[in-house]
Amino acid sequence: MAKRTTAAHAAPNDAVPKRNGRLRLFSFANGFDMPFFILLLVVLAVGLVCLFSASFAYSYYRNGGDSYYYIKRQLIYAVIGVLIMIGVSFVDYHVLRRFAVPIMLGSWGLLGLVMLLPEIQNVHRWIRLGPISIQPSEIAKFAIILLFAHLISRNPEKIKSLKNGFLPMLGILGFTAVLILIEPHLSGTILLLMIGLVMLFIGGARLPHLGTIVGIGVVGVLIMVVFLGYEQDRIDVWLDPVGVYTSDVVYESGLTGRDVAWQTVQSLFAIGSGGLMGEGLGNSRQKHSFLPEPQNDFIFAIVCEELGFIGAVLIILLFAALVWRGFVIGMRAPDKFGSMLAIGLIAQIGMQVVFNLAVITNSFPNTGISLPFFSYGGSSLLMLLAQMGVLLSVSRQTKRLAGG
Amino acid sequence: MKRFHQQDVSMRAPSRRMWQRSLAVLTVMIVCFLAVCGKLAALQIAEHAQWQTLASEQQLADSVISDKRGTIYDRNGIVLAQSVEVATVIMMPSEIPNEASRVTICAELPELLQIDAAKLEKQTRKTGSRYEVIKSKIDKTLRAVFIEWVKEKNLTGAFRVIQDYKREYPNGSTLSCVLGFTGTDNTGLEGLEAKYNELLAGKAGRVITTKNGRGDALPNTIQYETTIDAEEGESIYLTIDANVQKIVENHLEVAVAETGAANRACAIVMDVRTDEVLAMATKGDYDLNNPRVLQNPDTAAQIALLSGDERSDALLTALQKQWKNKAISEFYEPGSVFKIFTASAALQEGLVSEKSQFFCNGTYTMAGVRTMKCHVFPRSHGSQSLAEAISHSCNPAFMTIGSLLGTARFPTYHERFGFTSLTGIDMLGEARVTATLYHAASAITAVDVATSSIGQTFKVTPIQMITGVSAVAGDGNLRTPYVVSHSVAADGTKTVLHTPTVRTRVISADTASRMCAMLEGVVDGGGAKNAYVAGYRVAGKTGTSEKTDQPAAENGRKNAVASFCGFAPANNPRIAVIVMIDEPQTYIRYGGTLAAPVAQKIFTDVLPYLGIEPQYTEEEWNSLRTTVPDVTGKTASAASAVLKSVGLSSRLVGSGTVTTQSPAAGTVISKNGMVVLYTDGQPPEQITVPDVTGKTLLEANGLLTDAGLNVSIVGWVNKVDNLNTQRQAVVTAQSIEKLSAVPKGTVIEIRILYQDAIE
Repeated sequence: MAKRTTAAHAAPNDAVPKRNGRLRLFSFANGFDMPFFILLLVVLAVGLVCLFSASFAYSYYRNGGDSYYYIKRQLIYAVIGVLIMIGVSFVDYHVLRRFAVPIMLGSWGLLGLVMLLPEIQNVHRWIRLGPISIQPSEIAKFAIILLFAHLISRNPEKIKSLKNGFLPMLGILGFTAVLILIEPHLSGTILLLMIGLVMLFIGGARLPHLGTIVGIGVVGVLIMVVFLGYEQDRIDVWLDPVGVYTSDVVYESGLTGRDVAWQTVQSLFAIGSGGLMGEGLGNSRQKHSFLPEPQNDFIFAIVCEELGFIGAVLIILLFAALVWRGFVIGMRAPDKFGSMLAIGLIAQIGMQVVFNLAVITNSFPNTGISLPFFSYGGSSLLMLLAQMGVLLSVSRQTKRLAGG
Repeated sequence: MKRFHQQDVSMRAPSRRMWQRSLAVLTVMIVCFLAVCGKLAALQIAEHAQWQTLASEQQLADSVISDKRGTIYDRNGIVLAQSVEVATVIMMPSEIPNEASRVTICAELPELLQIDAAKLEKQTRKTGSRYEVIKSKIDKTLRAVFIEWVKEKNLTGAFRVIQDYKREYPNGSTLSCVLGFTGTDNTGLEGLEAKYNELLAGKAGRVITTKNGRGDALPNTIQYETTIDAEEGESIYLTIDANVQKIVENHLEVAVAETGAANRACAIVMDVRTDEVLAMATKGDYDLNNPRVLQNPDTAAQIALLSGDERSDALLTALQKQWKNKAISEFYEPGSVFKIFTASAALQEGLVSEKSQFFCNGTYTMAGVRTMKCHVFPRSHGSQSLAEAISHSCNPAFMTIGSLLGTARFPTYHERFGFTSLTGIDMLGEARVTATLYHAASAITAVDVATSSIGQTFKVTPIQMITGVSAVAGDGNLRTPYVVSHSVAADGTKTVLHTPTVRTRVISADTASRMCAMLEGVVDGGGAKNAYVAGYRVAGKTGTSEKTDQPAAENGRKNAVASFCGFAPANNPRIAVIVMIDEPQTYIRYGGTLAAPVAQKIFTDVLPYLGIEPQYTEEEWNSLRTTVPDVTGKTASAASAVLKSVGLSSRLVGSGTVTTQSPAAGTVISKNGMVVLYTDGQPPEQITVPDVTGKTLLEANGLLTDAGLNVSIVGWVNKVDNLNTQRQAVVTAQSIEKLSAVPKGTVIEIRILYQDAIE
């Protein structure tokens, strides 16, 4: 199905790190990577505990005194998701190559469809199917990872060509990004672009090409923000959250400074008042109608308030360990496709975590991005766990290689 | 599975470059994780305190537990101001069980608690709320009724009753300008309530609870609550004697009504040994329980005609004036009362003595440039001793004395008697005499000294005046007056706040006692004789001053201030009294005719109350009074003889043994009085009391004696020629109303006022 370049044939098979003689404690023959699996379950369990703590008060007020509304649903999705993940891990990931193009096309179709559907919370972001709702942008991210892994691994030298490799792929990425941007879904767009660029980077794109495109992007964003005043309110809040919060400013949208800065400031109140040791699990005050939707994007602010700096750092370490283990799987993958797929998937998790933490600590303007395995959202969790299943599938083959 | 690998060219392992670049991505990501941790450290450790503060501001609901404010007592423990327990009713709309209950609440509570129905209706609909104040400060009775209602309707969960306090003044307007009042938050706003607020106020307790973003309390399961108990405030004990205060206020109120004092009147009673204030009154004052009600109907009517800001401004100005303690905060020209200090200074300096002679020809030329008349001009006082000059209140004599003191010594004494500084009384709002209100030592001229010597061209406050007089009446030391003696904390700990404090010695004790003797003469037949109280040796000086710095009124006269300041007993002074009537509207408006009689009434009532026994001089006793002996059981002739031996005449009704006598034995009546003797079976003879009010003393005495009544005179009576020359004395009151029927021989008391007391 693909044309192979001579260069690809000629490439020496010297890139696989030597792993002979290493003991793999948590693995069994043909099994998946046990450390990653356990780390993932721990993160998921901690995430569920935190979700319950963060959501019960909001749920109590919002769902007529039912504090368990969110946790019940999330728990069900988590169980189903883990089962799906294990199931997916048994599937040879190479099968996915066949679906790379269809999934990409399908995600474009869904991105187009979502624009035709009625708005939910003022944006075209979700497709509601009975009890669950799908975010086409989530599928698009996976589609880009899969497609780029497929295209680059099929012909690794082509990416170095600006005209035949880099630009066409950039075009695919850009087109997808625009579809997400018009939803509008700024954080999804940013994440998609970053994932795409990471894929191009590890896939071997020439640094001048990447540098140029990143440069153009940065200059473009600066022009939009600094000279055209795009997202001025978010930028103002980012620069001086408490100042905007207490000011009398009224933005074009009709929102006051207090409205605009509310979420960020409440997040900072939560994090800052947590201190070193925290208020104790369950004892957040900010979740009581101060921090809006504490079960969603800002869940980690409540975690910081309840568990303090120490608890927050421990959880970040867990994420870091998970990301590190994911990279290890990717870097030990038996082939380029598996490697790129695994690294793309784990990089997506890592970037989303960093991005989320940057937003809640106001290190980055508030764009609304969820924290993987923590934030409430059933279909999103299913999607994440299924992708982790793919990663585990890759890990099964590293074992076989290592054994061989 | 194998199938795919074999078909797939990308089965080839990842390249070294891919491995390196993946490691680079991982590294960047780990750096990002570390950076986020750094940011968290900044927020949670470095900036923790400031975020915590900001967060707490919105998270904590602070409800106050009212503290009980301390009580204010008079010197004998009579309550003057106290805090009584009241209750505030809080509704928790979130806990109203159902719509039927809500309807019941809206239907019945407005009437029960006297609240606005529409507002209550709105409050019941705030179903998210747990704190709606629906009525504050209800008393115990209503609270009991309300609690009963809540129980009956089964709504105990939906209401809370919070303890609060309300300030109550049991004596209404008594001492109002001194005590002041509190606001609804129980913070002192005026008077001693404000001055001693810190001491009186307890420490409010607090209940700190967490609340959610909508301002409601958190569900009980996750509620956090801390209680800090309220602390009761300290009680304070005044030097004021409530009974003396009432006496003073009653007499002053009558005087204000009679004289039409347009700018109010005030009086102070002070213990001259300690400078403790026993009474301090301002009339018209206000009702402490309703301080915002204007007491002056004319002012209220004028303000009612205004509208908008003009109205509220005018109302506030009028209220502030009504609340002001005149006795310490308003200036007046002291007039002749000040002659006490001119004389004291000159006596202390040895410039004059009891033997000095002063000549008055009706005028005096000050420093050879300006001529001033004596108040008796065109008559004159002629040659007079120092005591006589004081008694006459002779202007030329005092301007002469002033010139002896000169521009150096006069201002020194003016200052040493305390007229250029605050007295330091422990009250808010004592007015500071600025240098524009008196002649400072640096700029005083001989003419200034002359006018100042007779109490003109400078101003003082009433409290300064009585403090100065108290120094003369006491031992010559100027003391710091005070109204609060000590405080008692809730646990019984007593703290002494003020003790008698000498500021400076002004004159020697000897000079002081010599002045007292001479000042007694002013009351004993001199310009202040209307302040005379039989049995007590009252000393003092009257003063009248025209408000020369103000435009004349419609009748062409300038307003005036009539005042008296004196003390008693003159031989061993105990109390000083100042009475100041500001802008009287009567035709005759001398201190001697308006202020001295008020002081007389105060002395008459207060001196016996303080346990100071009347000591009639032998002369007084022998010439004027006698005690009726018991003559019942004696024969008519024997009885008549006994009465005659003590200087009383008798009149017999019937014959034989005396069975009843009128007046009864033990009554004190004037010499030459008459006792009616009834013999067995004779009914008492009734007579009709004539109207003698407004008559001269001579006429009144004739009318009453002729009718068969015994006369007792309240006021000064010349001992030498008795009633005959007292043509200027007019009866102002009689103890038994005209046209009443009384038995013959009854003693009728008449109060007299000398119209010739023109200083």
